[in-house]
Amino acid sequence: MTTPASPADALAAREKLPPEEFRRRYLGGDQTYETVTAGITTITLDHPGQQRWLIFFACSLALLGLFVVSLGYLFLAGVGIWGNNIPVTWGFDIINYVWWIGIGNAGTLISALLLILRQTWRNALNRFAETMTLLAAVCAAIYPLIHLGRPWYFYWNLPYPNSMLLWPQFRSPLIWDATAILVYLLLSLMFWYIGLLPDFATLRDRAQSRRKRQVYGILALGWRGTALHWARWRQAYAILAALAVPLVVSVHSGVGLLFAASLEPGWHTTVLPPFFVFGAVFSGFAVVSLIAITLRQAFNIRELVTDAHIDLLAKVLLGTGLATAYGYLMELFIAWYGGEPFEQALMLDRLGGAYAWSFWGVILCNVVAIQPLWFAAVRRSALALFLISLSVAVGMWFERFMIIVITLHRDFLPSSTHFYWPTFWDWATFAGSVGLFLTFMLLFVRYLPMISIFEVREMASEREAKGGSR
Amino acid sequence: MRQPSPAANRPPRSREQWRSLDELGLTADAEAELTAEFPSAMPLLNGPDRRAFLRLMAASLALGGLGGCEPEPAEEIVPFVRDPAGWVPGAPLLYASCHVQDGIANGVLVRTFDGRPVKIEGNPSHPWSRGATDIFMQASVLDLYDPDRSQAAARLGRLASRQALENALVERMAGLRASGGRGLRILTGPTSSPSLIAELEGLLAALPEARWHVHAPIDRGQLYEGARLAFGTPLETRYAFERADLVVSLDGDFLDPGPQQAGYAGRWLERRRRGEAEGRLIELHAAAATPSLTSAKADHNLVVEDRRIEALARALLARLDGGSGGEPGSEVEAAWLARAAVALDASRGRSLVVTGATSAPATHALVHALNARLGNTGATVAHTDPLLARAAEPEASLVGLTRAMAEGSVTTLIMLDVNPVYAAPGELGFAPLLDRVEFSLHLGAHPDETAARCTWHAPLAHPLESWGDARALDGTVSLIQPTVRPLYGGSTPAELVALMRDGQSRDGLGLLQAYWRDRLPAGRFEDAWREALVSGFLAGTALPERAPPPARVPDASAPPAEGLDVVFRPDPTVWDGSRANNSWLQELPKPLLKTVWDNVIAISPALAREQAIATGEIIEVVTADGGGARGAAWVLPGQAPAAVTLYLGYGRAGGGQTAQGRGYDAFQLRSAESPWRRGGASVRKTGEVATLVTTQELHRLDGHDFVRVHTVGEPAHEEPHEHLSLYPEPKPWPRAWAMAIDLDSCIGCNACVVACQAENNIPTVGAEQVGLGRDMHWLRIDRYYEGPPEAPVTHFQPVPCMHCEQAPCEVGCPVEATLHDHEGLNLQVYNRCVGTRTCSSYCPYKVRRFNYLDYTGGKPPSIQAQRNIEVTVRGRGVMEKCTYCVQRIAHARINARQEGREIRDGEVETACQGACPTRAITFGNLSDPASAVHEARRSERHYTLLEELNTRPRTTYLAKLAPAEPEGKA
Repeated sequence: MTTPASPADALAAREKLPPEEFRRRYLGGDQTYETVTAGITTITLDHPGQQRWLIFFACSLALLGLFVVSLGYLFLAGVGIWGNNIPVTWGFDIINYVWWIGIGNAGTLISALLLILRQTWRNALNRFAETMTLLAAVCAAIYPLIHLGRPWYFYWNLPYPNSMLLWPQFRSPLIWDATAILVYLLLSLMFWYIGLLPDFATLRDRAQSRRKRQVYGILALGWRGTALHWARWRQAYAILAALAVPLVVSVHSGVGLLFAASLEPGWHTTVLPPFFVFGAVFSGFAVVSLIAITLRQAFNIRELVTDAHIDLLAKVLLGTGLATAYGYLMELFIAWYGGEPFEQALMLDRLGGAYAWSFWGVILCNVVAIQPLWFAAVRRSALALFLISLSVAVGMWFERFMIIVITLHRDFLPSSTHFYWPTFWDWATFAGSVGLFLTFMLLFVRYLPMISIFEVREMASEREAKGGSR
Repeated sequence: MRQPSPAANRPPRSREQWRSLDELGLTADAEAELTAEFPSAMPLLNGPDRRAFLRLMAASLALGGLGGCEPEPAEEIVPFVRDPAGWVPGAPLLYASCHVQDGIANGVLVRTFDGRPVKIEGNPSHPWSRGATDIFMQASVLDLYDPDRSQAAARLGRLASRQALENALVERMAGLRASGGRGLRILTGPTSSPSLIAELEGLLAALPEARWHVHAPIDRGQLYEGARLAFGTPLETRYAFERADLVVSLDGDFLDPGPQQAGYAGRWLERRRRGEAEGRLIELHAAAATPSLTSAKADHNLVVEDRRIEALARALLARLDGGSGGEPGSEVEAAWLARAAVALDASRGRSLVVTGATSAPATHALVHALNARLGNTGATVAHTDPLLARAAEPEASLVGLTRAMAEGSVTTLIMLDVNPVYAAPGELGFAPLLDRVEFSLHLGAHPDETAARCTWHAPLAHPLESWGDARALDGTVSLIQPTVRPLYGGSTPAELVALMRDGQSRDGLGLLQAYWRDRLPAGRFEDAWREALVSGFLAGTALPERAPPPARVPDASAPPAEGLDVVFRPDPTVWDGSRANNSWLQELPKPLLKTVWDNVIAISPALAREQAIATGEIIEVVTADGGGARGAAWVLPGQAPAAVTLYLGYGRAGGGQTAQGRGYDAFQLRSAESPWRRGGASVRKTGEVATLVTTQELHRLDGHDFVRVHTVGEPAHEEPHEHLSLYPEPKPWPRAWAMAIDLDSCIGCNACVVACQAENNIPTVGAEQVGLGRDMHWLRIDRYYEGPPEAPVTHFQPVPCMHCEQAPCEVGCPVEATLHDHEGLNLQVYNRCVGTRTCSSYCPYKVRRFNYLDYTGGKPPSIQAQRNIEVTVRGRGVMEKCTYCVQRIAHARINARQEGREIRDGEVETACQGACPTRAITFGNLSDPASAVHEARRSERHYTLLEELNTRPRTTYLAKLAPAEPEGKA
């Protein structure tokens, strides 16, 4: 064992740790090939904590019901049931869209980018992070559809051959955005499903009941774990990962361009696309942390999602948070330095206008709240990270509100100024979309392996092969 | 099958339990009796079976339908075998008519499509109004289709047939004739109609004991009273702005809403534009206690207490006589006075001192004296006999009527097109007096407050469906001709008076022709009549000028009681409440307040500070005699510290769904003797807050130059920017539509806004939706203040779509629903729009409007009938905006192509342009160097709104003019 055989060994070497120690940090010491498999499949097949799950599921289902009712009324009456107006033509619809798509950014980043970079610590996180991405992207994708004045014509936004011989207007950032989301959604779905294949096979093999065997069997697409299967699988997975990484950037740049392509103060700036990408990763990691900590607590899988994972998530959160804070700072600086009066008026409005609470909310939740993460003790505390992540999720929502509403409610001509306040239906739709997310997240936790069995198993087996014992 | 017997069919009745009084009372005896009398109806009484029920319903429906019918007039219907000359299906036809407000006419052209009047245009050949319009003219077409209009006669609030009404009236008149009409009183609105006056005089001649009273909520009584003070006889005063080099307005209203606006505003601005061409400013000095459109437009505006106006006039008079200027006022006042006096002195005989209909008689008399002293009388001021019948006779007023009613000497009261129960001054107590009148008849457009208290109510025909005449401000007789058959069979006052006269029902045309037959040149009546109908007026009927006796200076009036001065003003959009059921006018932002659907109590910033009252708080105005009005406070910049303005026209208890239940009723606080002002008032906070709806929340320019000001004779203060672009310059447009709006000519009157609404089928959305920020006006008038709130400079800026050549909206739209056409119009394709609202988000001018809800669906059929067939009605979820009236451009394009020529300059007139009383809007082809809009773009006043954004708007502005010296800021 003179040369490090695996990437994990390389990492361990960089961190000046013995490989065993490194592995122990990202996989609980007692975990073996068998315990990993049993631990995860038990959750899926035997449903521990059924009662608690049912309570949560009922609540989520109620919210989902609210979503259905909200949408029903929306389609019946029109977008006027929301608080949107002229000039604030975009309110909760686009705020929540941007917020969700931001959250939806982290999963693919964790899975694809870290896979390519061979960061094996991702193995414990990638499955639920991907699921979160998929669901958040679905929640996000719903908004542009329902926010239309005439949603039944949504497909006019897509390039398809039609009798009117009309294409979409390709200069519109909305088209770029729609395309980016659609591609992102499809790719994320494929990536997620292909990643699940070996685990479906494991479940099929371990399921007790006939029906479960059948269902997981069908989902496993005949996976037998042969060398050829694995070879093909690795190829496909790597290609999808390579495709997914640029999409992480393009999706949120597209959202940034949705604003940057206008002339509006606070929007018409080139910094917006990268700034939005950083913000997205930031909020995505916050929500991944929330989910990781919750699952760890709920299903007692501390040996799979270890304190070291928590520490890493916290570090990423701090890093992206600082990048986002730099963005806030630059916006203010450029407004001052550029000397453009409308831009300056906008920044003053952010600092002290009617919606200043959103700006100070951003500063408090996204900048101040993450500073304790400089300390290792805080980073290792699951509770602290949970609270900070929650604060970031809220803060990023404030940021979307700030960017959209403050610019629109007062842009150039003071005569057009009009304030925006969400209505009950705005909140109901938002809560409903959270319900949608939670419902499917809970179904995922219940019926699919929330942690990639085969990848964690690989870590365990590598350790066994190398060290033999602890 | 045997029918079960009636008794078996019925559940057994218990004597303890019964379901209805009928059931309880239906004894066996009665039942037997009924069976004998109506054998076939008995099964029905006992709960009809299914078949009988259906039979009964069918019969009821059929009979119910029949019963609701009025007999149609017997007229032959002849199909168009050949189209009448000049009639093309679907093409508009214009008819000349006139619009009468407070008895005074302005000429209009009614645009009709297939027999439906849809739009009012100004009548350019009318000698007084000369094609100008105002909001009331523009909105009057909607009144025709008002679904709340009175549609049938009523007796004590129950529907009655027209025949019953006529019978009752004729019978009543027969009874009255015996006593020479004793106890008969007729109350009309203000009228200048020669035929109606003759009709009434004829009736009064036949019934010498009968009396005719006139009630006008917005009257010219102060005017006539002032002339009586000065000249000893009531006279009409007419100003010749076209000859004035200088105008001094002492609480004047020549630019304010009212029948005078259309004629005066255009003449003054024409003079001002001519002055600019001569290189000088035709200045307007104004003093007012409560800001008005006139004071807002003034170059030197003085905010002064209402009680000081008279003193100001006296001081001016003294200064012109070489005196020192009367009693001392504030420093600002003295400065204003000195400047006005010097200017007046320098242009004797070529200047004009004006005042308004709401000014006190003494002020009017002093203004007459001032004009006489300046040599203006006969030069820029002309006098004629009063236009309005009996408006100057105290005994013919409402006060005279109520006195007689209180004495019990009124047994029959006929009210023609008036609503005194609502609009009479509160102190007269008109409503209870009306209840004591034996026979009262109300002819009105709506089942309003007065109709509810009368024994009879008859529907009034709308001017667009009836015949009539009225005089314009210069006396020109203008004809009212119908453009549609009466929708609900109403009558005109003249028709009703004719019926009263001899019991014969006559039609309006017959009455009108009968009157004019004797007065038009003998022998060629038919030609003259036809000519008059085509032109809309009788040429040469302007009232002759009268040389007044030397003006006497009236004695000083007694100063009002200490305290706040309550000043009454007609509401700028719903006027005296008679227009309150018109949703266009309700949703039209008040020019200075920018509030909609409500009236407010305007207070000064100083008073607001002193009593800690914020805009929107509900306050109570209490007068010395204990009367009070509760309404929402509005801190109005430019309001004199001690002035409290109450706006009439709201607080309606009847008169239609739109009119009712909004705002407070200021008429209650009014006194008959001094209708426009009351001293000794105080305000009290109530602690409640109202939800006021405004379309513009911010009013400060904040250092930006959205509205630019230009001093006459100075060069353009800015070089045009260089247009930088990464893209190649577009090819020159063969035709490039463009609009230039002259901000100096804009008086903020809103006529363009209503015209746009009428032309383009713009829906009204109601107070709640406006409050949410969803008003649909394609054209808005931004109103900005500059300077201190105590005495600000007011700017108006109409903002339609800019039709940017590099339009930000077009970049955003994902479905290409907004795009450029080949003539540079920024189009909106409604049926392609999916409603992402990106275009509006991207629009720097925020001129786009979105159908957040279904604002056009489900409207009553009559409202749908008003719609312009040339403009798409937009449904829910679609973006819309100003199109430069693309339908009118298309018309011109087709006509020009058919005739094989270019579109002439001025051939396309947008709705806003056509409506503007001051011709502030120029529209045309920018590529044509000879076009007016091209000419406007070369003006040194020309500028572009937000030019730095490089959107290259097609709509541009001409800066406001300002005097050379610094503004008279207080």
